[in-house]
Amino acid sequence: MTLLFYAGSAQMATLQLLQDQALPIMIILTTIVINLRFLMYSAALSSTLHPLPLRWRWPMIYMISDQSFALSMLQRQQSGDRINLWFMAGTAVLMWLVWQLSVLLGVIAGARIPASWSLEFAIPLSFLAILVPAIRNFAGLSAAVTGAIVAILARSLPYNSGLILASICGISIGLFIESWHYNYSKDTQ
Amino acid sequence: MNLWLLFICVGITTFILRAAFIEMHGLWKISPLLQRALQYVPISVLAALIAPAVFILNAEGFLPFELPPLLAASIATLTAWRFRNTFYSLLAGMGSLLLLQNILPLITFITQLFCDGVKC
Repeated sequence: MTLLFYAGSAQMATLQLLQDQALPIMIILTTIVINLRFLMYSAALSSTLHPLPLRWRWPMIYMISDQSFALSMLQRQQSGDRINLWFMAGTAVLMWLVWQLSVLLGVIAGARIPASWSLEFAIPLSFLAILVPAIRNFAGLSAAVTGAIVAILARSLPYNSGLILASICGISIGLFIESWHYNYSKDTQ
Repeated sequence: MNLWLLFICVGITTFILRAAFIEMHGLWKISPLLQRALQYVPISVLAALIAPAVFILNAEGFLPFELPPLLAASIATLTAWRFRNTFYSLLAGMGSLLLLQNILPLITFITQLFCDGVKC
């Protein structure tokens, strides 16, 4: 599974649904909804990855993940708006390798690790470690807070649509604050 | 239904999602508004992924959320903000979570060392 589609949260959800014996079409629809964020990543990365030849492009596309995307975006912000492809490839390949190896390890030894270690908390923690430096202004902060609040409120929505809803709300608020800020500073000039 | 077939389907649809805008780059135009909006994608998505995992509902206690994940995440946030280092904040977060989760039984254990059995 993990080799075929390499998308952690979707893998977890699929596992859950399989255990619940859901219909295959439902599983596919759910994974589409969960993975819709990759559509957004795709749009963000399109100008950078499009020029690459196919044999480089498609592996890079396959390896798009939350972490490597966020790190590449961070790096682009810090180095004046250009994505370093080697950096991106490096994070993506490493991430993919580590992920697959970890799944393997998990298959072999997972049942032995005590639940009291709460290792699953490392996942949101790694996201947090990337999120914090990515917030650079009030618009970003409001986007994050809005996304978080809506995600919590909408957590019981079916098919993980809460995630999409929260993302859309976060993006909208971010845009709104950004344009409000821009208009405000224009007025005071 | 064959499990492998299912996984292949999911794999293909996921790849299509990832590849969509990249493959269609010349053909689909990205409006300036969409470009501005895209900057907030990682922030919103990451926050939306983090929040339900950190704010775990708790039936009892005066807070509606469980305390150890909340505090651990706050510590991780502060560490990330102050040091801007992924590793440190991960360390701080996991460390404080394990500490907080185990500290209560530990306190109970220590007090019981000084006390007599169950009562003090």
